[in-house]
Amino acid sequence: MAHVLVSPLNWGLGHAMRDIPVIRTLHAHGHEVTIAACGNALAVLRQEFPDAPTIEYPDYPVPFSSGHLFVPRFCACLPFMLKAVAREHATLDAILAKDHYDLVISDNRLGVFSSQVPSIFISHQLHYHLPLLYWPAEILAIPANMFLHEQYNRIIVPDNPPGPLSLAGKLSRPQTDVARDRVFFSGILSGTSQMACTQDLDYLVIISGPEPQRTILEKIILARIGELNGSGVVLLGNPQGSKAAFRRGDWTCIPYVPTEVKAELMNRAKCVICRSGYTTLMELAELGKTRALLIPTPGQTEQEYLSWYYREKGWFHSEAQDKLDLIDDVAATRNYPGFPAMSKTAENTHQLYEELLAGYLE
Amino acid sequence: MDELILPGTVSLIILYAGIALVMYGILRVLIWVIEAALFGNYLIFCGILTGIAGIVIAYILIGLWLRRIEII
Repeated sequence: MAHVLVSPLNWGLGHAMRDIPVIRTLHAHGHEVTIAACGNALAVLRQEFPDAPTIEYPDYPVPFSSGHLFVPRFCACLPFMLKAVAREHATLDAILAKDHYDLVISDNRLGVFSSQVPSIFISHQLHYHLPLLYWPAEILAIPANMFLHEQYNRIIVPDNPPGPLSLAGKLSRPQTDVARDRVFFSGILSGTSQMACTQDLDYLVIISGPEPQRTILEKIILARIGELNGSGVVLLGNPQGSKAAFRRGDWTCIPYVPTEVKAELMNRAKCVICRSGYTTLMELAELGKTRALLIPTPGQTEQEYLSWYYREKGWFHSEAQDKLDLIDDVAATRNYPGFPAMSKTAENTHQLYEELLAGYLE
Repeated sequence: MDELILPGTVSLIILYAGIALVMYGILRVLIWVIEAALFGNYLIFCGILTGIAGIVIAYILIGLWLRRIEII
């Protein structure tokens, strides 16, 4: 039995959620997993794996808010990021000194790697997408990424290999020999699984993302949902707000639900209206959803790219938040068939273990 | 810690120096444009504006070309 340290980034729940099937697989093969994370990511994984040992391992706050001037703000934050990543790396040395580990798995935590213990990086972004005007910055990010990738033995990309089934498009395209030598395309990894339930919900609206964009989207949605035919649930994604759910016509609006309730609602929904975060998109793929309206968080270049990419591929309809016309855009979702057929998480994690993880653990 | 701090710091210094250089270049060009306009050198004024327009177009075209060949 080997001992694995799994450490997801706490920028939203996406990283923690996609690590759930990886941890399940490691447990299924009899390995011990210690979870090192912080905030909501740690809370979700503690809930999912109550018997697994955990370590409170702070990362760093999102160094920018969504909105305009994202690149200049990000550049200004880089020294603080560097300091935080170096501190994170030093903390890892202390963690590894206290116990024996056979493998370190970092989900997008740039400082979580070791020269003493084999280290694996999980990321769907081997390449960063920026607006066209910032193309020199996008080029400069390539060697910076290469330097980071060099610190890891392997890189797990939770996506299909580049080609017609790639969900992350150019984001998951390896562009350097360093990335090409290390990359393993695992296919989608989703903590949300299909449930045996009927699709009795016409719509599920998942409002999320950083403020103030979350509130702006909430206002846009709540102003017009009554005009949609059918019933639905709106998840406001606002754990700080009022705890009570409220009705609006045939709609139920819920400030916040635990992840398992959200998974059930996603299973029941015929049409999902949500942000285009990569983990959410993997959930749509895992559940085989065919109707969705994607609304990228303004200023989040990754979400904007993925929305554009899916629309270009003809998989899902998307619309910018400031151009959203809920009635027309929901109607347009019928013209898109959803993702093509692809292997699901159960098969992918089996393959991931046999072809990659077992080599470090057995 | 040096395996991150040292190369990271060097990279940031190069990045910020590059940004400062570009900003300085833009400032110099702006001063030329304003000087040319103030002193009535309209030929130089129009020449610089044409040059700026050409550079901006070339910049965007290079970006589009890099996307097309999948470098970015």
